[in-house]
Amino acid sequence: MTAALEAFRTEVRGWLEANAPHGLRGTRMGRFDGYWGGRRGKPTADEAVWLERMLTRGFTAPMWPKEYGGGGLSKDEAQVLDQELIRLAMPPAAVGFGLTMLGPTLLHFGNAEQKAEHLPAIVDNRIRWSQGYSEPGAGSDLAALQMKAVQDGDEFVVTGQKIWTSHADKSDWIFCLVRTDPSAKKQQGISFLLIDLKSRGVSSRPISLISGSSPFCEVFMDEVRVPARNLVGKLNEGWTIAKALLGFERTMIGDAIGGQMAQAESLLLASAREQYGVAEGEPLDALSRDAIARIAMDERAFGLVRERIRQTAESGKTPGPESSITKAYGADLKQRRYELAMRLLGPEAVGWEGAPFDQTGLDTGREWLRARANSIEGGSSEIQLNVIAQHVLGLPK
Amino acid sequence: MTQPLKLVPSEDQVTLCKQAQGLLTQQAPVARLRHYRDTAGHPGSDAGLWGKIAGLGWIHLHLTEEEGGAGLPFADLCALQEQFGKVLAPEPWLSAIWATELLRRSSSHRRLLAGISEGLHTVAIAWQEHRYERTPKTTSCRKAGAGWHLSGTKRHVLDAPDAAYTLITAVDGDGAVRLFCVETATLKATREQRMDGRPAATLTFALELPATAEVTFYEGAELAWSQACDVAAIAVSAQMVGAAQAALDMTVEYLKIRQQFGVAIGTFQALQHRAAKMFIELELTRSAVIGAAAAVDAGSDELARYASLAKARACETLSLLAHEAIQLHGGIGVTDEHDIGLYLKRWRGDDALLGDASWHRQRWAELGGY
Repeated sequence: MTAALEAFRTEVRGWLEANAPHGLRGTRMGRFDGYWGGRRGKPTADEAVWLERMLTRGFTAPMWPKEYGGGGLSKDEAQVLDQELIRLAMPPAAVGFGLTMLGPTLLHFGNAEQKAEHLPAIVDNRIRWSQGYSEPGAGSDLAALQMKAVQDGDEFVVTGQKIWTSHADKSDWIFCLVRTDPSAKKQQGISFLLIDLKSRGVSSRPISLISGSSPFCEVFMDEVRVPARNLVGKLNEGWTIAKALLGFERTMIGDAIGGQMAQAESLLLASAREQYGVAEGEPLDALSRDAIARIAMDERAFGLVRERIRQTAESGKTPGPESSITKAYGADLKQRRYELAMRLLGPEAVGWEGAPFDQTGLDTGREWLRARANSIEGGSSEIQLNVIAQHVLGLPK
Repeated sequence: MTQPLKLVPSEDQVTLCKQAQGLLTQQAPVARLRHYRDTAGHPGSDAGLWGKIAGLGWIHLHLTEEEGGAGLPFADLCALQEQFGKVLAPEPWLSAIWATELLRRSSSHRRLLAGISEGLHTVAIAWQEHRYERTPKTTSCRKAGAGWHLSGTKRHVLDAPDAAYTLITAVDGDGAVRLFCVETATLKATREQRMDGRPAATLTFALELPATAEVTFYEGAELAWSQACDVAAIAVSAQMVGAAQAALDMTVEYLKIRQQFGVAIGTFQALQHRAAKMFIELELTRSAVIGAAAAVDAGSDELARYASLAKARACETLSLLAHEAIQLHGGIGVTDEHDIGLYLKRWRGDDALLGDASWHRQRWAELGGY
């Protein structure tokens, strides 16, 4: 730890002590429990103050260049900021797919006008973004996507359907993979397009999951006219951008799971003690102990592998295939954690809502159901294993 | 707020590993283990190679300059262990590291430390009685005149048959752990025939010792013993990561060249996924071991938990990788002629050193108050 970094920590700690609203301290749940913003966002008074103050430092996008409203921090400084936020258990001031997925992609592939138009609105959370990737016929085989974009003067005319679009009903814009050359080999006719969801011809419909609710939607586009300047990168060369963004997405999902996992050991332990009537400080039965220790140790190793990838990655580079490790392992770990939580709670976890079930039992049940999607969304675990086998281990296609 | 541990290798460490790879490729092919095994009376390791290792200053590279070392991080020593683990080197690394960790905490036997570092002396650690319990129960010591009477039996003592000295743990009349340093020649040693081929022995003894035979410690025997065992567990975990990496490399190579049904079997998704899972588990475990080594260097108060994390994961990962490697090699994998079987046998031996995965999970839970 260098002296400069220590000085930065001291300064940031003091600034947070003075500026973090007291009503939000101690409320942090995870990396994605915070204010999602957007035109229709309704922040609480504390959230509004928190966002405004963080923006004065560029701390909603700590590592982005200052010219777009970012903080211009190094990755080590950004980590210090993160640690200090966690120390106060402050929720992030702004969260969303603009910050985690589109922003890093535009920094690499966007032109000057696109960066100037979109990055500041992501930094200050004015515009909420959603991701238009999957289609009914293009899940694991993403490159089979069919949403059509036909150039017409200085516009594209877009028609087709997207699915599994998180928060489409609450978002303002969507970044879409569209087919611009139907005659080319499937990866080669794809382009990356930014579309305002207010445009005429866009509609969406929410999807309910087995857990009873979900952020997922279907999005329909019917001859939607999109200005040609919203094309990111070159025409028909969107697949490279798409893959880079998937790397950011996998990292984001791994980080999100890693953030939640940090409390697994204490929560599982509390359930086991309560269910089996074992007082604090007394040893649990051997089976529960082994099962909880296994999850806790895997969680620690998962934290270490993510930290090692973070330290190895050069600042600002797009994540490589190693992000598939965190996606695949993170999903597996979360599913195992909730399987164990359900087993420990036993009959107290079969509730759907209301008495006699308590909140822990109800939440655990819903999370257990929700966790089934972790190994499917953002690239199924099977796809992640394909990526590792072919792009890391070099096995033949 | 704890600082993040440093988990990326330094340039020095990368250079050191390359140097080790060069040495091992030339002088320590895995196949030598079969030769040792099939040669009657062979000691089971290469004393000449061990001398070279000492001459390179590697045995004590992590000791401070005051202790006669090079002042490099323990992480570098672990990176070296990984290289030796790749070729299943049977040289007495674990015993040397273990003894070094004990003696650098000792107020009585500092001179032996230099002898170990320079490769002049090899030292075995005689501790094991029943399974993995670190505290001796049956080996006892009692005051006898100005000295000690020490008696008992120690099992599975690695490197014991040929080590010049043996460090023995014993329990005194008050139930406290004490350590003694004796010449191995004064003990009755029965050599074990192990499936991993490692030199080891059962030691039986009833000795009258001078007071100077007791190894005393600046901060007490119990703490020194516990910490030295944890550091040793991390070192053996690093060796196991190396073995697992070699098993994965051999397997991936085989999947690329082996043809069946007219194609390389590595094109089959079922096999690709098995290889990918091996890789993921290995990366998690490598991170745990690197983290544990960094915890040693940082003087972390979580040393015990990190050591148990590293060893538990190393046991499970090398098990998975060695078993999968054999299955993915098919018929050739179960022949004595192929090296991969040696990795499975080495796992079995390493698994039983210093606690297996379930022992370390239980310890993790105990350290966490449950």
